[in-house]
Amino acid sequence: MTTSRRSFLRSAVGVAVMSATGVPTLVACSNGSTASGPARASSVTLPTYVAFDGPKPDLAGTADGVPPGYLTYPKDLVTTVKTPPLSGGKVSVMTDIFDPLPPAKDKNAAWQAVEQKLGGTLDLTIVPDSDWATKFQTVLAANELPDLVLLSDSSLVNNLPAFLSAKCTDLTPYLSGDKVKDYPNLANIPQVIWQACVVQDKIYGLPIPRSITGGAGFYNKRLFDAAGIEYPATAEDFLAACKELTRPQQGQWAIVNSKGNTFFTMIQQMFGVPNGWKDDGGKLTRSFETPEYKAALEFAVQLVKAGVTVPGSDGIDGTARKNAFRAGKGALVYDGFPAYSGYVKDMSRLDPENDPRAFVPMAPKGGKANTWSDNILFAYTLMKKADEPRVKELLAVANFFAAPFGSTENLLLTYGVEGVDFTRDAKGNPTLTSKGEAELTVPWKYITAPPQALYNAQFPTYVERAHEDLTKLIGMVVKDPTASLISPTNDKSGGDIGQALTDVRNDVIAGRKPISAFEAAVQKWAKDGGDKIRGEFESALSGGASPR
Amino acid sequence: MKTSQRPPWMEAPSKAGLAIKGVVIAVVCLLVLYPFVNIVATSLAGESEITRRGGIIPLFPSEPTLAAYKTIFAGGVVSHALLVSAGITVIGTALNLVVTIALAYGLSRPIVGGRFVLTAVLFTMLFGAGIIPNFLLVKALGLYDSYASLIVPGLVSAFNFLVLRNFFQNIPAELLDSARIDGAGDLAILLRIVLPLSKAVLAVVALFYAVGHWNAFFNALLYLSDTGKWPLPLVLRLYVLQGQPVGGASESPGEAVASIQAVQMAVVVVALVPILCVYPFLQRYFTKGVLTGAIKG
Repeated sequence: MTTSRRSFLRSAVGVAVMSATGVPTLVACSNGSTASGPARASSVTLPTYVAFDGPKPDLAGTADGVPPGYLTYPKDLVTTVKTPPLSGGKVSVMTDIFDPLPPAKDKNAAWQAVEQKLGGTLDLTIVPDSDWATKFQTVLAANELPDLVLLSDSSLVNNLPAFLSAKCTDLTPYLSGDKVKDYPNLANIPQVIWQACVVQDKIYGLPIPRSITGGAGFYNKRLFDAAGIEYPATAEDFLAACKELTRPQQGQWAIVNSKGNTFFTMIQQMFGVPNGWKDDGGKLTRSFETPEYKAALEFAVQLVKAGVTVPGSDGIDGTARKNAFRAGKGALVYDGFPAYSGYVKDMSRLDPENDPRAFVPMAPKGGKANTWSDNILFAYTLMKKADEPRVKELLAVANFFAAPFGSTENLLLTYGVEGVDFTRDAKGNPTLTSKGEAELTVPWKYITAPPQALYNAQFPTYVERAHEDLTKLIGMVVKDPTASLISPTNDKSGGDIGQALTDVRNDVIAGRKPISAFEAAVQKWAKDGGDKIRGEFESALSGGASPR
Repeated sequence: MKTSQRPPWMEAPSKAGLAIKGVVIAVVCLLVLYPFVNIVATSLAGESEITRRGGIIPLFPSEPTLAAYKTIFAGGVVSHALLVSAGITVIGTALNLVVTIALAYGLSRPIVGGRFVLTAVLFTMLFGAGIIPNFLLVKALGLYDSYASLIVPGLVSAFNFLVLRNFFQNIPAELLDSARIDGAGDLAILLRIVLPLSKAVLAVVALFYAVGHWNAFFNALLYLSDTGKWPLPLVLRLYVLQGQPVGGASESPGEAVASIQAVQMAVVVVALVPILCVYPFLQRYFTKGVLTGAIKG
């Protein structure tokens, strides 16, 4: 739903956006100039990684992005920001919110405390995520950018490189290499994450890091145990386990599906389907052109035919999918890794025996399973063009919001003011009061954020498991070789021709069309623009400018 | 239904006919009411029941709880937004009426330049300025981030203006002339003769404006940056569309927890109830008012 609305707005507002910001869209389109090109990692020196020297975690993190784990809240917190970044001034920020609205600043103790630490006014424009596209494009078109603005969806800007160079600060001179050491909390962000903030060989974004991979879904160990099944070692075992787990007379099936066949993501990773594209020495193959994809598709058809998915679940939405998995209607579900702690909490409340675990994909005999690096960032924040002292000031503000777990700033940003927003239990773990729950939804976690840490006082076993699972999942991760490349054709029509293909795929999975129909659809995709997209990505990959 | 109400040439309805009509009306009513009952029932249901029954509670929750309402009103954000919305609705509607009445009355009589002003107003009905020019205008007028940005840009709705003007034009000129002979000025005529005769249409126009203000969402999204000024629809949207679990980091075991669906449904109830309370009082004017304005052209 969001996508279609966004693309609608893009066509309606997008043109106006670019002409109002003074970016020469038409020129760039028509004369084939080098307005955009590849964003190769090679020529930009990424910020040097300097790990935060804070409280020792119970489970160590890695530079690949496996987060450190804490079983209890650390006691020896470190203060990372000694002098307030602002001296009485103001910083305006526009960002997203997913939570209910927090109380306004004058009634919000946490907000006031944060401003005190900042040494100035935090002027936040909070935009509901569902309305982000409208507000963002209006503000952009009216040329009213705040100091810091989230770029939650880069497709909202028609010609991203041109927009960035015209309106946003190139942060490379301030953050590249050892320069980042002036901002220790930003230096604590691993390079794999900074890599995703680079456009056109320049660092434009201040990242909001995530767990690198979105994982491959979850399974409820209680149902596996009840059926007397071991965790399957191969895809063949998986199929047998699914059949075993399916007990319609008890209202239980193996897999909870949802609209768009979300369970197919698990299957693709089991069969080692590439993450978007496969780079074979500069030659690109789209994931669905590979034999792995075909095998995965055949396997999915087999699963649906065997009746192991919850009946009718291929038409349900995300909330219904979560409900079905929580209620034990299905033993396996695809959902993003960040949903893990929510499942642990909700499901233990419904039935203490419930035991949701991350699904680590297993390969078919002789194959190789993988996971995708599809959750490196939530998004990144852009800085409006400013003079050097102001840029440094704003970077110091970003540095404050990126204060890592184990710092006093992070305690304030996550839990607010002690005694008002949170109290401590016997072990010193902070617990939000009801006032704190309301106040702490201020979306500063969507300005910039530290790399993630695993901590859960209520379910310490979750921390151990999530750490173990992420270590496995990140170990299997494959990158999308086109992640930081630009293909104008893909921006323009990639979504539409991809959707046409996905529709056929869904028909195949549901058994409405034969597999041969999918092969025909792939050829049609190539003809309708797929080959052109491939060509643009390949030339961008080889270092040439992409033709825009 | 008494036969006295039907024309003499019509036969009395047969029993079967009445029964069929009754059934049809009952079915239609049920179809309309059932979703409302669903909404109220779900808003009162607990988390485990909603999860167990797959999201929607058809009629009665087995263990009713007010947890969802408690969640919404915790923190005081929603109650504050309720006040803001009520204020904007009352003040905005009053200002709308004053300006629209003045314009409609002025243009309902032949005056110099009337045609031009009329065309100018009608023009806005056919051609809107678009989101971005409006945004720039609001910003340039210094209305950005103020309550006035929710009221001023829509002060006159061309449609409501037309309804009012048509109605005013149909008040006999003789009535106004005789008032003038008695020494009444334009203001006195408007206040003491025209408006009292136009109660029905005024009620309708007021309702149109009021519902518009109550549902005000888009302008608020664009023009308000301070969340403390947000009206109810914008605040409630965060609960309905985004489906995020609310708080819940520290609930004590055994305490009822509101599920997302219950909160969403409770939000719908909160947004609906005030309008539902006002509507019956205005309903009797409703059809009458719109039709008089529209038919007598």
